[in-house]
Amino acid sequence: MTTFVLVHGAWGGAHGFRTVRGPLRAAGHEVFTPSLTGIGERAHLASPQVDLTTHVTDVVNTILYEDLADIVLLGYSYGGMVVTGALEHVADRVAHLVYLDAFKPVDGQSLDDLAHAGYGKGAIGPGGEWLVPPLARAIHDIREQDWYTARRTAHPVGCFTEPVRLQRPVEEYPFTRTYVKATAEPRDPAGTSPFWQAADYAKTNAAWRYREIDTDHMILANKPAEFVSLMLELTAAS
Amino acid sequence: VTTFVLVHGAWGGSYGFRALRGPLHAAGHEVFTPSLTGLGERVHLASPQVNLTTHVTDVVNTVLYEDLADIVLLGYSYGGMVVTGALEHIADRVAHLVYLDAFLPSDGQSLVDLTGAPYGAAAVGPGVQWLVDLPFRPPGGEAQGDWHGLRIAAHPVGCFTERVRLPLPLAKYDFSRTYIKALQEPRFDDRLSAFWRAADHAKAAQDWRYREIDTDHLIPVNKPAELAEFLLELG
Repeated sequence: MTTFVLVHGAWGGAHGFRTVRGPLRAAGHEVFTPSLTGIGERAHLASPQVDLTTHVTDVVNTILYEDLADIVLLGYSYGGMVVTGALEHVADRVAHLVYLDAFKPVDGQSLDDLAHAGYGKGAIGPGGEWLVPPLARAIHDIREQDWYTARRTAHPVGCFTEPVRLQRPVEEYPFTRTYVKATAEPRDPAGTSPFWQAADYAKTNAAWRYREIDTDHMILANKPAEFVSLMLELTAAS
Repeated sequence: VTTFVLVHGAWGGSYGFRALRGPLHAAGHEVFTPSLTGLGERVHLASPQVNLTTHVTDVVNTVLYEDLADIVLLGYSYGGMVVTGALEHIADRVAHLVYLDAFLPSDGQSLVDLTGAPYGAAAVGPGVQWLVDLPFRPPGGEAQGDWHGLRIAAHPVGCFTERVRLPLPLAKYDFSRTYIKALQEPRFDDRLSAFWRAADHAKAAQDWRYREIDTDHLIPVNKPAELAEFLLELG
């Protein structure tokens, strides 16, 4: 039995994992999908004080209060920032770290540094916007589009501007590492697409496993069965 | 498949249901145990602004964002305040409401009203404490003491002083109702007699089911198998 801790992305919520919790549990595993403060079902807790540290603490406290060990810790998209920051506190409880089409920062990098999104100073000073409106995303099943769109909430900017803390390079920890890339996403012509950069790095580095799913960034909504198969394959092998 | 939404008590957290999730999942059911803001694993979000409405919203948003229907909604202890307040928003998604040794407020009552606890005007004014420490014994048997004791968090007082809103008396709602009482608690204790009053009401009323578990208040920790059995019967 494996314990999965799945961390959702920006503008999302734990509900994004509804397609995969059932199949993973049916295979005998435990699944935790902590909701990040200020978005999704915790949208009522949004404030200018919510930042990356808040979300790191959301995830770390789930692991420590539930006393989880030997976990598969997965960060999806922005969740890659969060699971990276969580290592400061829970690295010894992680057996396998998975980035799912996710940001893979090094120590001191923020999402803004990686994405060149121009969120700047964030919520500081007059006129500073602290809520970032959601990026539009397409769900393949148009019957589901409204359901997901209604649940996409604005994201506190401090999550994107705060640099992550990471004591040593991810490659130096004893856990297994996997990067999973959604391959239907276009490569940024300027070569600055952070998910492709991370994927290319993992693909050519012996410290990483690398897998692909042939779909766009919305993997959990669009290819849940493939995601589950991949997780079961990775955990069987680790 | 039944969907259970289990709401923890004061000073607690969703980890309190850890012994219960396994048996319910194993029987094929879905289980959600939302963590209330400012407590347990969400202790880093404690603030004087956290009140009953915050916790009601924690639970309501879990149900609405996950789009859950026909749920068994259970409130344990203080969680009875929360599930009662949740009905304003999600009564139509509740198939069965369960109070587990819990507060059973009517419209306009706060936990302070039910217990007579002296939390007064809450976090208003100079020198007033907004965090309430656990006022009685640490939970659990000896084996559980340290693990649970470490996880107890002080509780924002606004949760205890804010009055619940309940648009209709519980009897007017369509869902079925169960009260489960922990028998090993003394009847004449100011803090806990509110649970006995609620139990006595449920026992005598036609529109309630009434069950008993022979243990103390910490049912999810001390008698998870018995509790799971009751819940599977409802599911």
